[in-house]
Amino acid sequence: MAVFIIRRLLWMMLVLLVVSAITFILLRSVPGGPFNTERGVPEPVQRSLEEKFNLSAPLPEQYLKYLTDITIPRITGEEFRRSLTNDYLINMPLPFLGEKTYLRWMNFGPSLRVRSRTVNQLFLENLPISFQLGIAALVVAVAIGVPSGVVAALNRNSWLDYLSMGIAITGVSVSIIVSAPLLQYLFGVQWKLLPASGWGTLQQAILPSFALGFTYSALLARLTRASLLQVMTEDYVRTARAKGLSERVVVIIHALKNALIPVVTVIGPLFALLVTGTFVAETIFAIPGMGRYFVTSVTNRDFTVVMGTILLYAGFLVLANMVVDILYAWLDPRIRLS
Amino acid sequence: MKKGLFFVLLLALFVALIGGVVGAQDEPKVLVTGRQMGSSDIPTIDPALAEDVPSVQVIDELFVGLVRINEETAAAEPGMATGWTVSDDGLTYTFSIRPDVPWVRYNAGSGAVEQLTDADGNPMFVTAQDFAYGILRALSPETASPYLYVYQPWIAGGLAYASGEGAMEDVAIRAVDATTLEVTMARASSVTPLIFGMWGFMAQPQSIIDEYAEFWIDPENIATYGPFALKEWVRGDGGSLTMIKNPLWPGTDAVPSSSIDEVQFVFLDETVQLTNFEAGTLDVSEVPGTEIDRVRASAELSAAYAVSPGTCTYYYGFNVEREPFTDARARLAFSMAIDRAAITEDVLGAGEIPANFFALPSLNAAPVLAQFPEGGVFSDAAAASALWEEYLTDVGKSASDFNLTLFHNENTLHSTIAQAIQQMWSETLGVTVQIATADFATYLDTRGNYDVYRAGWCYDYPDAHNFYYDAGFHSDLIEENDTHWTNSDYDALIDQGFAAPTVEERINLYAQAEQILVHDDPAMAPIYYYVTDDLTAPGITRTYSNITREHYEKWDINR
Repeated sequence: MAVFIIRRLLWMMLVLLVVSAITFILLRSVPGGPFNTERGVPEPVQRSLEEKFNLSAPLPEQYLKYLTDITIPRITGEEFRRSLTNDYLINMPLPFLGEKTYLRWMNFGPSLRVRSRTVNQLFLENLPISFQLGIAALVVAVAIGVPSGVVAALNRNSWLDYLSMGIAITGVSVSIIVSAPLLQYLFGVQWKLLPASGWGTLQQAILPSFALGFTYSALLARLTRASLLQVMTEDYVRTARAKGLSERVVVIIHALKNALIPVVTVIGPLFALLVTGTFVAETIFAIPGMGRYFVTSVTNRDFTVVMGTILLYAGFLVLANMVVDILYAWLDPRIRLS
Repeated sequence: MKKGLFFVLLLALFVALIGGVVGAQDEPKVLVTGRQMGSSDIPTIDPALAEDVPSVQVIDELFVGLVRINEETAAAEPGMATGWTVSDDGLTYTFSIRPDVPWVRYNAGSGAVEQLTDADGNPMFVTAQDFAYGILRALSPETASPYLYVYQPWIAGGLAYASGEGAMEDVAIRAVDATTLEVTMARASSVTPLIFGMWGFMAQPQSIIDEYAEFWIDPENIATYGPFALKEWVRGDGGSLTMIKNPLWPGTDAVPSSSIDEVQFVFLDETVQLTNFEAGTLDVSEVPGTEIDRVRASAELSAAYAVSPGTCTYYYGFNVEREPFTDARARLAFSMAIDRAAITEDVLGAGEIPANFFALPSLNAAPVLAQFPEGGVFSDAAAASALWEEYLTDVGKSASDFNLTLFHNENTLHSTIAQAIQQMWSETLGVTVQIATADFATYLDTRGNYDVYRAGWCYDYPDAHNFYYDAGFHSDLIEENDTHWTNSDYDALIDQGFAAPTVEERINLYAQAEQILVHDDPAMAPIYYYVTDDLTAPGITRTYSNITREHYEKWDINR
């Protein structure tokens, strides 16, 4: 297990290295820069900004500097003055090495467009919001999707089956771009039951998590149904029934655990998809998460924010897949991690 | 026992009632507004670094310039300066600064706005030194203000310092004492006072900026002195910024003490704003272009709807280095072939005004149609077609010989307008024009490589000089001018207009310059003047700004 995790983490490093290199090359090969404005930028200003944010050095040198800043920890006893270009995610005091000695690690740089905020601050303040939204949406998706899939499978070809699958088809077909404003209008404007937008209270979380989770619940429902139907025909289920176990025990203890393997496979990437795919929900419901930085930083040519968000999301996807692999082994002991 | 319980209940009810009444009286007046704030996080509230409307809106309420620009008349009024004198040569300005305005910060622990003290425990007041520091900071090449182009030419020594050639000591700003600031300008002009109303030239707190570097604008660090203080800033797209009334602001004629206790700016897209306005959770909302008809048709919404003049002109720039736009006749023909009224009425519809001059009519010293009814450029398909034929005959070409490209940044509105104009050019001039688009950054970088590009100019200070000079058509700024157009007669008229002592003379000179710019040797085709429109909830007394940013200290809530 430990070997497996270490090996996967090493692979993750390699994946992130490749992702960062590709992103860096792509970003720098398109026209436009972070300091462009309709007014134009005087030559001395452009020079001074490029120097300050290390954009004047040759590209390979810039890339190496970026990599060093985020990967190599620094142990330093120097007087520390936090500024835009000098802001570390991890600041650990090392009292045994000296009073002012700190381990400082991971400087993702300043947002070049905003010039009053660092990418680290963005991670600390806006990422948790996207995370909360993603988790809430996943809870909604699982809470609706799995039970309705089970109900549909157990009542195959009955009206219950058609109803839950009908809802599932609707969920898959209706995009969040349609469902979110509709929910917002009905619950926020027409009936005034829930806040139409914003983030911070439980009420504000209901509409966006439902809008985002509903689409994916449909996917889970169909998958659960198909998988459970298949498992129910297996020999060991017949054996369980023959032992005289109640139908409930047969379904929940014996059949469902195996039926959920394909579902779990999907939940891992789905979770990553939900957390990284909150852009539309964040825009419609005005939620101050990361999702929009992911998109707007590209059009703003905010190089550091693009690099930071892409590395973060890439790392997140790789981690989510690793967790799924570990869950497999737990759900089905026949699967070996090695 | 039962009696005891009864009394307790009665007492509880009594307390609740009293609490309710007192609570209702103490209810703070909170205004929630999305007006002109955009849907993204505000980039900065640092006066020296701000360049966009939302940032400037907030800065104008947290800080006050030596001069305050009246939001309704666009005139220069005394702000932090109680007054100023000008030397006989018109170059040296001596400002008398209010002695009674303290630096403040909101304390989240006590919930109050508190006066700041220096290292020795003495209260800090805004001084002439703070203004000198702020102005020099905005001009410093190290600060790298995106607005440096606008700031640098005014003060003697400013241009040299900003471009890295001169020293800071040679910029002609001198704090004579704590309340007297002396500034010598590079050239005399009646426009000068307006420059001291710009956000970059606000007083800035050196000790705080030295201590916290770029993070000095965070709510727990910042020092401000205007009618409002910064209470909270939820950063991120869809976030918000809350200002609280500064009780230590003395209140002046131009900048009264606020009646509203808190103003919360929310960063919402127009559609979300309207939804929230209709749900009753937003007091001031913008209106998406697609919803204007519905708002006008609804009795409730149309009563809350108001349209005010905007601060921008929408125009198309012609690249004078590319055929056929090397010839002034071709440029004028393309400009006249645009049916401006059709665009403002059929495509836009919020009350935008067809533009026949480049400079906005609301600007100080701008020529207006009423005074120059023959001036500028007019939409005239027949004249456009005739002029175009004349040009084609002259150069011996036909309309189909040209393969032109119109370039704009990706945006639904720009795209609709471009398609309408594409059709007008095709019908009137018989020219096929391709439309190319790109995201904003690419567009800014490459628009000078296309035949025609869409652009807009919004004023920084409400004087026509800002359009004629700073927009880049004066040859001083040829580097910034993507049409690559220059005209020495135009330059001379703008220079004379800048120095002319009376508004009448300036208007006459600018009218001649305008005639060159949009008609005789056109660099561009002005298309329309923007408007700002918004919805205001009932119970709010307000002013309607003509300079985009509002002065919320003049508003009130009674509901």
